[in-house]
Amino acid sequence: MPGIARIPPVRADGLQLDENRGFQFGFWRLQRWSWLGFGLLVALAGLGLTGSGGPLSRQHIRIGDVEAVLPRIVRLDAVERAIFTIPARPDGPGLRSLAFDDTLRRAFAIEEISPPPQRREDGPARTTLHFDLQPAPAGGPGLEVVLTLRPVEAGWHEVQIGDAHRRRRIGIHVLP
Amino acid sequence: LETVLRAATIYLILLAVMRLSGRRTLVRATPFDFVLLLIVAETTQQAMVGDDGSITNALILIVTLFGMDVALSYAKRASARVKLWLDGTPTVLISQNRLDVDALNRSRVDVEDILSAGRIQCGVNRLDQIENAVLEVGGAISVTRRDGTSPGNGGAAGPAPD
Repeated sequence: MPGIARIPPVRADGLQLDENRGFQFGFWRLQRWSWLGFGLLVALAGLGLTGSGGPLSRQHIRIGDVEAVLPRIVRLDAVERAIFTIPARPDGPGLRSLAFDDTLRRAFAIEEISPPPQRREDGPARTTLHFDLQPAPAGGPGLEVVLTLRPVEAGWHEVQIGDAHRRRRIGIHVLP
Repeated sequence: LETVLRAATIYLILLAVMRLSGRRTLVRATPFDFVLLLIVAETTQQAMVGDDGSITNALILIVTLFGMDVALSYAKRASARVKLWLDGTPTVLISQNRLDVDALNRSRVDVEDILSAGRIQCGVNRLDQIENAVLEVGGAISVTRRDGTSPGNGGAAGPAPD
């Protein structure tokens, strides 16, 4: 084997070893750059670009009068929450719906819907959740719907979310 | 397959991070390094095992990790280049009683570390009694005593001339 046959030379100082100082200098430089990379990764994590919290890990969108706070970058198997705030209706009770397409069902396991919907329709391409909204004065507290999601498929997913009338396509990146 | 991929990926990531963090990182057995080692072990265990705590999963993980270790050891023996990248090269810190300050700084080794190694390995009391000191590829420091020195004699060791 070449590993056995290679015998290090004897140096002027009497040490018999193979010191490759040229390689070592290059590697020390590489080390310093990699430490910068470690720092950069920590900074990106602090910003939320590696998921699990941080200002950039979530996205705020509006679908009609519904405000939604959704994950933008998540980690595989790490539980996340999608929060939809439906405003109060002064004109009396009404049925409001939230709908999402098959991509969300495929990429995420929906572990909990809080409060539970009045009715749920699971179609081949989309799921619609119907919520009964109680009357409340204008500007009063609306209904906050929380979907607890667990990502089950890594990669970039374009999910269509909306209500009975409007839909929006949003991107969610699931990190492995 | 997922178990094998997880184990292989974590092994390679750990190898790269350990190598890039510098060989002294986990050799100094300070309490801080011990805590670091424990945390790294716990973190990687979770990433490798995932939700599967079965014996089958553990068996595949162990066999994969040992298999990679054996494969890399053969790769190192077959190629000097691979060995150089994976293990690095020894760094001479003191040669003929002259300190290489640049090497000390770049490899983050203190003179105290050399003196400690000297005391343990060959009973030297002072720097001027050390002929050579080498930061080995494993992270340990090996020291050889100057001929004819004993505690109480010898000159002062100083930085190597440029």
